[in-house]
Amino acid sequence: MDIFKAISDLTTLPGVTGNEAAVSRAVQGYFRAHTDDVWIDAMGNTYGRIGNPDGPTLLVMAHMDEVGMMVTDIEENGMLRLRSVAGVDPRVLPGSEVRVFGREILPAVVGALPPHLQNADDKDKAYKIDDLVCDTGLPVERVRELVQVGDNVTFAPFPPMKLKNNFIAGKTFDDRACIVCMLEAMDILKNYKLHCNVVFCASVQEESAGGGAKAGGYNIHPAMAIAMDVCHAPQPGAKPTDYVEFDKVSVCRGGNIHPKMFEKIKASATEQNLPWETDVCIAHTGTDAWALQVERGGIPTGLISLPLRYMHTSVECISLDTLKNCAKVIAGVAANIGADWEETLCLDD
Amino acid sequence: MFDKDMLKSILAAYGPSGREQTVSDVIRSYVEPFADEVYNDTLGNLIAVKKGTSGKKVMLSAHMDQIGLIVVDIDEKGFLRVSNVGGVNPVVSLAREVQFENGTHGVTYFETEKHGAKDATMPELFVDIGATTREEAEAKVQIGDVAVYVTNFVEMGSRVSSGALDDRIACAAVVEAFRTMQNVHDVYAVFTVQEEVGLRGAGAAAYAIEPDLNISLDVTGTGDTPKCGRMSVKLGAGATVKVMDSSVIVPPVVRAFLVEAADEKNIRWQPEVLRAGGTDTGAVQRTRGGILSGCISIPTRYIHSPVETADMGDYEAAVQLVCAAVAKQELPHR
Amino acid sequence: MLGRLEALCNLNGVSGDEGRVRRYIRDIAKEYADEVWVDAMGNLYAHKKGEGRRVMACAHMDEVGMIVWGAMDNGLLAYQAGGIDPRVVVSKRVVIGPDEVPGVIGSKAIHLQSREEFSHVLGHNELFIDIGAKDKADALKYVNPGDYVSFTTKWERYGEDKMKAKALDDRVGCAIALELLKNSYDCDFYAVFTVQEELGLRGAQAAVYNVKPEVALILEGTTANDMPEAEGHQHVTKVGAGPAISFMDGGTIVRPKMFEALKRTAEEAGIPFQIRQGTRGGTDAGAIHKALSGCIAGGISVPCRYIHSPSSVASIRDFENAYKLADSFLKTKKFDEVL
Repeated sequence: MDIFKAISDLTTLPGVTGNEAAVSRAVQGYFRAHTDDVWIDAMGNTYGRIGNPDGPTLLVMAHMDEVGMMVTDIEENGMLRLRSVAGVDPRVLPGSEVRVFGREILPAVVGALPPHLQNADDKDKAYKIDDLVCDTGLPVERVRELVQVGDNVTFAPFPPMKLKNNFIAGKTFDDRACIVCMLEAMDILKNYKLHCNVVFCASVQEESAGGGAKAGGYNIHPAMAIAMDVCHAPQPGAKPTDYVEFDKVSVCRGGNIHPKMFEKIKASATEQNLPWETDVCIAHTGTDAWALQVERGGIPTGLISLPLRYMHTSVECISLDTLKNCAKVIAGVAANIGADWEETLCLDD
Repeated sequence: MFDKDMLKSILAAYGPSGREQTVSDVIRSYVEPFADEVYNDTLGNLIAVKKGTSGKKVMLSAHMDQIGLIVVDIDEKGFLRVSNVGGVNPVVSLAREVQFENGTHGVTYFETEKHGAKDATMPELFVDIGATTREEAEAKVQIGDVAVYVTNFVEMGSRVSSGALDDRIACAAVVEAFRTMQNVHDVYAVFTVQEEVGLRGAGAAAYAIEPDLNISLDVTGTGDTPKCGRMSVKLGAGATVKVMDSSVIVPPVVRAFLVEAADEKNIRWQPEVLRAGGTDTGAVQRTRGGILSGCISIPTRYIHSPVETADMGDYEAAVQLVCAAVAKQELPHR
Repeated sequence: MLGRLEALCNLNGVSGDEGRVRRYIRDIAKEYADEVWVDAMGNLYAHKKGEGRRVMACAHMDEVGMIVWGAMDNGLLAYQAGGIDPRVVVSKRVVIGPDEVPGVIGSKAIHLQSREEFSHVLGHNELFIDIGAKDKADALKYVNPGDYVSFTTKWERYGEDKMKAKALDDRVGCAIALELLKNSYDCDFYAVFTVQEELGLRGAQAAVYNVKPEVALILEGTTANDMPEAEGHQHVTKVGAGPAISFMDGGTIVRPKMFEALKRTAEEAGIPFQIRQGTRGGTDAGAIHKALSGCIAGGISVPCRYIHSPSSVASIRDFENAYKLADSFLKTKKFDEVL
């Protein structure tokens, strides 16, 4: 699979949390390359199934929504006011190129009062979202025709940049890079005769805690699940415990993770000699794993993460080599599931 | 014209979160003549069913509960100490007349030793019911009893002000729609409990009903009063079709369905992005494997105060929009 | 029952690592229940089959604690904590992981601290566990990131009618639920021992789906704030004043019928009780009552001072009376009156 092309395709589509239809259509297309068994549910979660339909189900989930903005008001002069929809840092917005998804897709920029017009006290203060405007350059009448309160705004969908050492930078790698990882895992698994049933799910509304993963867990009712998300890579100001090295697959351990799922993931990485690291989280992992774990009377859940820098900005940065390794780890877990799967999940007390 | 007497009696009924039986009985008396079936579920949600012909189920939900003050202690001088039930602002709650379920009235004040009223906190608040000893107080009120604001129904032209408009005005709107609607689908009008303490009732009702579509009705804030927080919603500009609040992002297909229903019948509507605060819409959406869920709001000023204010034109638009939505053959789907 | 409480409190079972507690309870429950099983999250179920209402008594097995985050270059361990005030961990003994590796949590000597540092509260991110390791590599020979960390306090009877221990919240509930299993009640009875309550009622969310109770009785250790400075309305509960009956907590408003039934049970049986005079703090009731299509949930709690610290204090009589109250509720079939 051309991984860079898939990432380009998927990350340049708008899919602000709660409004993922365009990404869903593209993901369905990619899933169809591997299977005819593709569907969506009432939340918009998008599924592709491979493997043995009579076997135990492994649900693999990565979310396709992105953080973004929404129009909250239209000013007298046609400028738009915005709010963040789940986790955009307003400090990264001034000077950003964005797109407004109104009746038409409008290019726009985010602006703020220039520093030389601010008084000395305000210059040191970070911008809040209410200090900012979104400027389409259009006259107010035209703006009112084309834009409505509630329309989504995203970072401009520039294709990813290739950096040195097989690193790439771009928007929405959180978490579409992991969708690509799932596609790569599907690609690897086509060469295997699987004992298990694998359902890949591109989930919705992870960023807004809107219940995409919860519905996915309920609808699939899997024997076990693995969520895939991004985690922090080394970056300025971060302590060693805050991140996982760029070249390592992050394997989570903690209250949110079934101990045996941790073991399965670890075994898959170790067997294939892939570098990995334990990432500890005592409780809420801030990923789809949290909702999956308690659904339908409890689902044994694991979490694999791809290290990423500058999360929730338009220049998120990952290593393509590590992405491929994540896919191999997932594929390995699926391939290792055998007839003894139930025993392998028993907690040893 | 709207049924003012009904609205007034639903507004006046006692019903803080967890103690909704009285208001439930009042609402039941209004819907029962028009329903095929009416019942309360385990949590106390009131559910009225009106059969349709399509085999599909539409849930309408509005919460019956209101915010209140729950008694946690009675001191030796007969003063009651309280804690909040739902989002009660302690400053808005002091120097108020309040009332308990058994009719006991009292007034609220606060400990003045340390600071003025604007800094009052909930643990400093107390209720004076005229008792002079603990025994005298305990004869009227028990620990665990809940007081609500005593408020007036004020008519100001097309606008009304009262406590508990959140969300009794929407309960009244659902009743009014329930009486007149020409529904093609089975309609489950659900008057939910415990919304104010974290959307606790609606999910249980939706779990049992498994609707194809839920439409919640609630109040929403406005951005049209002097120097208030920024918001596009205005009083008198129509019912709102919710885009998002802190509990939900309404699926675009549901918004489009409601907007189409409004436009077909020339009903005034405005889009709503609510910055803070959740609604039953979100709780229903997250039930089982996901339920398509939208929300129509009635713009309301001064929410969670005893003088919540709304425009009856918006109320009527909300009633019409509900009627238009449940009469549409084709329900939204992914 | 007291002997079992001692054993339970002395076992280590931080949220997410309840295996030791689960094994202890399972071995005893097997003798009394018709079936005993563990679900995918680690919740333990003991079922005594019967006719009539499906009633569940529920206590959580987990205790507050810490988890090893990673080893520093100097061999000290960074940790994450759940539900523990960092002010209570300094200068405590701990054990780590399946092999219970001993360690201590220290801080800079008072002699080396400046005047400003005296008033500064050390956060968990500034505190480390010392296992005597020479450096990072040495530390990782003995512990792994993700190993759980518990305090070493031993259960002890002391003072008058008092006990002190770690994890009274909620091993008191576990001991009571186990004791209830010995009896026969006129209902379809489940004793459920949940995991991860302290992480946000996690186990209970799964357990309610697996049991689908009509009535749930949550057995808890709860805050007692009967401190000298506290006024009446700030006590929440008082140690020694009897088991506490809840009308509300941070996640639940108890249905009035249930609250009244519990009070009536105590009055009829002559069991001393107090009303839990607080509205904050979560219990598994919050997850249970609103799940599925809803059920009736109420709570009986044993007041515990210094809850969520390495040494909490409770009254033995309160504990015994909490059992009697739960037993009377079930014996007199009050569950039939609350729906």
